Amino acid sequence: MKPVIVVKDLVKRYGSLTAVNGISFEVYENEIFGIVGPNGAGKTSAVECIAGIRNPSSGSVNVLGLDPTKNSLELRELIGIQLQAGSLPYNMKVREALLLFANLHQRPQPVEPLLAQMGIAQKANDFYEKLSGGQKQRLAIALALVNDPKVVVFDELTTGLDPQARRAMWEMVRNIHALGKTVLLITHFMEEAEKLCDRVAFIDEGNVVALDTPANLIQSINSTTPDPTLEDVFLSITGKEMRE
Amino acid sequence: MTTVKQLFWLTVNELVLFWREPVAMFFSLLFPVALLVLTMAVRTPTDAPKDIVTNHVVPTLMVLNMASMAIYGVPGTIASYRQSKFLKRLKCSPARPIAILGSLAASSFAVTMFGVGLLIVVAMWLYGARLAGSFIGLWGAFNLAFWSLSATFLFITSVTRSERISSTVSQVIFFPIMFLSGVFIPVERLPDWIARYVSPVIPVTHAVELMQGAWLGTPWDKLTVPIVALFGFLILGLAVATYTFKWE
Repeated sequence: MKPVIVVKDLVKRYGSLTAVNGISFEVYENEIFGIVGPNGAGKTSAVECIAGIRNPSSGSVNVLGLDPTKNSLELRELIGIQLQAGSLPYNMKVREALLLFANLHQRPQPVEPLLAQMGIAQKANDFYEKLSGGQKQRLAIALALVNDPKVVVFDELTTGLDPQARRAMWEMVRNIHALGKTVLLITHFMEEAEKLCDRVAFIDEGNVVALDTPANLIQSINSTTPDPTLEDVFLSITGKEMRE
Repeated sequence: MTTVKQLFWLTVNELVLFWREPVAMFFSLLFPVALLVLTMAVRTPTDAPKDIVTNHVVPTLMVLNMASMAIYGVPGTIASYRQSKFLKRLKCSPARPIAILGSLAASSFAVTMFGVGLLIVVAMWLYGARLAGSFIGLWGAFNLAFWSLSATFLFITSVTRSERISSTVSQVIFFPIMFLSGVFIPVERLPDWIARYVSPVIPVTHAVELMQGAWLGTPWDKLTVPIVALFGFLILGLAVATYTFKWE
């Protein structure tokens, strides 16, 4: 399989704090790859280095043959990013936001079909502040897809959503994957990773502590519970609950 | 070409968002006109003739408009975008940083230009104001003063991490600057030590002198000091902003 993201010995420090402590992994073309770990594990820092938003302290990252530190603008034409923290002005309308971001790219997708595909066409003239949490996330996905990217990064896509909206988001991720795109999914919801991801990397305290398919990870532990989950795997590896 | 396209769309977006902010619209476009009307209304018969008063007041109100945008407008918008993470969202796009910051500058320039234009039209129409200098000279002075003040006060965005702090810093510095720079009170009426040692280090003082000179037709060789000072503040402000600007 062809790797589209190659991360080698990635380290990210903020002063004396080491958020990412030498992680390595590869993400293959057209897979859904999950980076899973508790809050503060270093997931977002790692992904922001991959997306070229932050510069690594050391190590190397290659995305679609490009170095994000040197070719960040070129890379952003090829990838789509939904940020955990990334909002819009309250008085910006949905269609305006999508048109603006479309016009920042060299080869954008048409906006109207994208609005329909994300199920927010009827909200196109609404202000951002009037949208529900789920609608804001749909718009964030639309913004990430506006350049028809090869790789899509979702950072905590379903945090703060109710169970129904969360499942709708999962369906959306599957649809995006079905279009042939590679998906990098960052989450602290084990169920989400188990349901969606082809492979999962567990990150804890800035280190990759396990990496495999959800099924293999579950099989790898000697659990006394009848139906072990990824949460049990994480607990057996790190001795920590995810909510810590 | 890509940067120009991005600059165009980001500027259009800024102007659309500004259009939806009635309070900002009032302060940018109508407040200087309201102050002019108020100043002329409280003029007593023993004061100078109204055209002389107007010709003195109009350039200072132009500077008041520019300084408001430089101290409140642009830093407030950047702080708000930073706090809501909109700047970070833009950073995930291929938008060049120069296009993002340029669009904020271009939209505030357009709004200030419109506000100043409105002020001039009202001053000429209602109070007989007359531009004694050349229009091109006034346009050049306006550009230099606007960009110099905008660059100087960009430092506010570097030292403030939230919209609230940005607003507080702007309020704390705005009124002292207006009093010490000749916008509210002519510099020559200030205590001698302030006029000599404090006012000259404030760029707004030089903006007032230059705009008054350009409006009243003062020979350019007598405006060398404010022109050189404003260029100096422009370069210094841009250098500080380049090294200290934060996206988050």
